[in-house]
Amino acid sequence: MKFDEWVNSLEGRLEGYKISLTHERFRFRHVIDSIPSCTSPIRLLDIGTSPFTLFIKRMYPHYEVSTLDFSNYWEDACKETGIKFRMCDLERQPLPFEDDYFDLVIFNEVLEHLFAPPSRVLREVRRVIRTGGKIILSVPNIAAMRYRVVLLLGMSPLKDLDTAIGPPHDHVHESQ
Amino acid sequence: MSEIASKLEACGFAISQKKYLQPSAINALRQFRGGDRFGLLKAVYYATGLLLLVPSLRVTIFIEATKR
Repeated sequence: MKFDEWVNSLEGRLEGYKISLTHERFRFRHVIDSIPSCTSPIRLLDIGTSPFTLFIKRMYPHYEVSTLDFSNYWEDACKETGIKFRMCDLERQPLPFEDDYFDLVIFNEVLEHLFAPPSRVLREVRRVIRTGGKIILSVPNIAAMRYRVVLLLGMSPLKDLDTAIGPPHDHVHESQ
Repeated sequence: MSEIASKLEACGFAISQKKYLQPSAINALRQFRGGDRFGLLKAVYYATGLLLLVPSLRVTIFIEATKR
């Protein structure tokens, strides 16, 4: 099933994500293209559970897909679709997996939400990837045109931390 | 981009792909048709030559790396 078809088929609790999934389609498309298509199962970890995690499992039902998040919001949906869900606070806890376990880790639009030093988090992610395994990482670009324009207009592109702190979308790096 | 790429390298990854991403103008037009009143403006914005010529002005940093 193609991504657009899947988005259009979303119902119930997931229906509310149609707009954001469509908006972020350009990013997801690159992630999809980077996931190796193998006949044999691979171990894949998606850090930061989202509806896209469900799509990955749908696209590759024979892959061992794991995910972790700091809340259990997606736990039931993951269990229903055969995804291994773990709760983990990346800022304070090690990843709950053994060394060299995963073939692929997807780490998209999460790093900028963390207060922990990025190098520390990346080293911990590296620990659970096998040698030769891959990480797919994306973060917002603080130097993007829209932020520059906002600065030129004399406004801050950073979110008001008094109101922005808290799940699910506090962009720490944009605020530093 | 270079900051996060160098951090990955320092942590033991070899960068295999890095690029800036942006939504496509066609996608923005779709959103406009779907009711996003700013979709047309976004479409013009994403279609501008500036963003095509200067990738560092795009909205997302995307990196693929391999564990050494």
